[in-house]
Amino acid sequence: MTGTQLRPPIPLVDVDSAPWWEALKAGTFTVDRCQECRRWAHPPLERCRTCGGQNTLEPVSGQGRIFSFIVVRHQSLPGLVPPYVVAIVELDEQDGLRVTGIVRADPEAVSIGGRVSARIDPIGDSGYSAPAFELTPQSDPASPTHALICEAPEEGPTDGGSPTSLLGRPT
Amino acid sequence: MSTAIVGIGRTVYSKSSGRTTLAMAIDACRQAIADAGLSIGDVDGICTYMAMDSAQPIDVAWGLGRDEMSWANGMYGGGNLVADQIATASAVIEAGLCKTVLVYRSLNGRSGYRFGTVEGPMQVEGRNQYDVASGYLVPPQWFAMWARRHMEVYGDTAEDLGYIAITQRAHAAPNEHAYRRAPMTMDDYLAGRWIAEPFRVYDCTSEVDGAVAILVAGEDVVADTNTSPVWLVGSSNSQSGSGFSTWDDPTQMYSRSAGPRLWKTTGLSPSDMDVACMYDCFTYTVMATMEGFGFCEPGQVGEFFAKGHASYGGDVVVNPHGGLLSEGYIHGLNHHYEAALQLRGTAGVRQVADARLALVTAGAGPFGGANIYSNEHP
Ligand SMILES: [Zn+2]
Repeated sequence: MTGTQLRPPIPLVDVDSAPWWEALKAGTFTVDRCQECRRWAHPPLERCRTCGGQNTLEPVSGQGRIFSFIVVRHQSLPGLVPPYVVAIVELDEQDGLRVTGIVRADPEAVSIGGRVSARIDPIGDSGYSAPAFELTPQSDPASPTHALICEAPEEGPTDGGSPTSLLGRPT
Repeated sequence: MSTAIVGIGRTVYSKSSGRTTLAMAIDACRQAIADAGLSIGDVDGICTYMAMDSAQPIDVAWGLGRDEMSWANGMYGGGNLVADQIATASAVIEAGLCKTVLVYRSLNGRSGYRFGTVEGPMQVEGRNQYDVASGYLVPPQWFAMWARRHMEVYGDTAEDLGYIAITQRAHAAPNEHAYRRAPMTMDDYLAGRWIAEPFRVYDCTSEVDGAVAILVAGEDVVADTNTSPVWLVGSSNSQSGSGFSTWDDPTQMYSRSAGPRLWKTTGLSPSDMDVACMYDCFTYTVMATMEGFGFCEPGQVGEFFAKGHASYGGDVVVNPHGGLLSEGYIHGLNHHYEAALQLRGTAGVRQVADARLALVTAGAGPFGGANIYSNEHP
């Protein structure tokens, strides 16, 4: 394959998404938040879908739990070499506030309900960056300890105890 | 005024058609018109659904030899629109805008554009742009993510998904139009290569090239046709823009609301269905929608298939043609074709005995709908 074919996909940035991508380039993971009702929402949208108020990006903790995950084993896109884990993560900021990203961990160590924290990784040499996740507490992605997933989940500071976030199971 | 399917047409389903979507659409439409015993002069409406990957309705109509149409409409979308499109055609006829409508879907689903085959970095727009870094951009991954959640909550096993794939493959075996007919055992299923865990290759649809056309007509035209009419007796949809990450509960699909509404508005129930053509872009779609449409309690679908309830001699024959998984992915319009065959009693060796009512679902995840067809006038 040629170099161009190996490049991962990049965003076609629009007015709603530009500030989100710019913040990531500057090293900050942000999520849209309504300036009226204070609800968080992702992906970015000009106005809050709940109350119609003005949305503005605000930094988030990047802390959350794995809502679901897959282990990609078949390459369908250039620039991403399987196997790797992709997860939907529910951020601690609000029940049901979900973002997606690669989880940089051994697939065997990943489980629904597991706590993760975000980091910001460049998207190839495109100049863009995006959130990715690591298992919490910090682990070496190359040699994750299985003990990690056996621990009782930590309580996040603003975890609302969503009935769907843990399914009553220890991670 | 009641409406019915009066004509059906299709091309072969293949790996590489060597034809344009326009040529295939015209072919399938021409067959549907001939099947009904009508001529193009009797057809004054046409519509399709697509994602910029197919021939436009007016171009197909022109190619069929009709200079002007009373109604021509292309909807942007996927399999979630199939049932709705036939119901919309019916409503358009009932509203008096035209007398007959060709509904077609034509795509080079296998030989056409695929991710990763273009030069340079692909640019991704809209809400999908936020997933470029994870490459979380293709349906097998989205639905595997949903399936994982269902398996976590209800304890489904790989075998539970496998029974769906195996049952449908067995149904496809005598179907000469099916793309995949080779027998499949559970061992074969489990040995299938991983796509995105928890999905193996046999959890995924068989993408093919091909076209299907369905001709819908009002009651006044039905008498002029030479086939047994297949009446539309009910339709419901639930179409959400949540996307695949924000939908609140991926253990349920659109069917959680479209299902109950369909039974309520028709006065029918799952146990009345002889045939169920369940949209099956993935095995998990069948699992979640069998629950949503009330055939099974959550977590019971694997057992339902394992015990033969979804096959001949069981409660309802699910995808007697093999479905999208084995017959091929004509974006779900082939399900309506199969329902018409079954209700006419012309499905040959795979005929479901005394089939009178068929449920045909369309779509998956946050959006979709379903129609009920009957071979008796409503
Ligand atoms: Zn608001």
